[in-house]
Amino acid sequence: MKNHIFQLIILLACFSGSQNIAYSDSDINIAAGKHIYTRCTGCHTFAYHRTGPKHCGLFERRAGSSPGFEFTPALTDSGIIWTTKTLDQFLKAPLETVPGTNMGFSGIPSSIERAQLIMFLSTLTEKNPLCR
Amino acid sequence: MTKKQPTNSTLDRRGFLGASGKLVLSGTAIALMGGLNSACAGKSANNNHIEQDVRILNTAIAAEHEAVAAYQLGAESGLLSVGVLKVAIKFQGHHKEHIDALAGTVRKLGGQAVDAKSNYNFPVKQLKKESDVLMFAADLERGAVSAYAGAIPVFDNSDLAKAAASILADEAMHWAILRQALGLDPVPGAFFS
Repeated sequence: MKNHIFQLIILLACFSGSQNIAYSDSDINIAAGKHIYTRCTGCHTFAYHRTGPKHCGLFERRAGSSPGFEFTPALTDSGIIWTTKTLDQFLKAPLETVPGTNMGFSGIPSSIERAQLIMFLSTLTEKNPLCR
Repeated sequence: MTKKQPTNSTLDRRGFLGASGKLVLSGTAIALMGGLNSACAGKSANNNHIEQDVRILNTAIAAEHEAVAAYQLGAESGLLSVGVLKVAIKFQGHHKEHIDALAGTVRKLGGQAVDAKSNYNFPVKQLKKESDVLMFAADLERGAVSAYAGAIPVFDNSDLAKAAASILADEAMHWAILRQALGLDPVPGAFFS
């Protein structure tokens, strides 16, 4: 039943052309977020910096403050603290949210996908084996 | 531009140079740079857009440098059979060509292309057999496809988007071949996400 509701929501989104549809907490799961995270893996990984900064410990961190990575002034000067709300805004359109960032990524238009990805990112704490 | 790679006896030096040392730009690269002449002269290209395109290109170059280094690690690991090594070196050569084309474009746009890092964080301890190296490379190639797919819509210059799509296609072929070598479905779906 839950799957059917979820599929209906997706279907409605496709037909309405809207990417910002209502969803419930039960629609958001970490496994889906981990799958969406593969879109980030051209530049990022969990525990160490690559072309982009590592994501372990991202939550509640000030943007552009992860030690050992050279951030753009645009990000370090943004004053952003990474929370569910700020990540949602940034991931929707990174270059519009922080003009001057090196993150040349068009963004994730689907609010459900953003929520799932953010849910997964929130698990990347020092307790997570992916961060060791 | 590209960082000098360390030598290793496991590599066929002559073959390596033959595969990757050619300074021959592909048709796409030449078309890319040619198209930029008109784009740069055009009234619609303002500095902010050009600066953003240069930043995106440099991010791509940084990721390509990482790929070159990763294939070098694989090639020097001693874990690859002769046939796989040959393919790995060929793919590494493609990434070097991508760097040449992208860096030339950055310079043409008035920017400075990023250099390779002096070292990279790779999961070296996890690479214990050939399939580990293949999976490592496949994951990088998959990530590269995602990165180009995410970058194409944000290029202001459509010539750059076209060139990025061409590179994306090459990375996707690498990914498929590596998956095939791993015994996985080389083309797991009709759409990439």
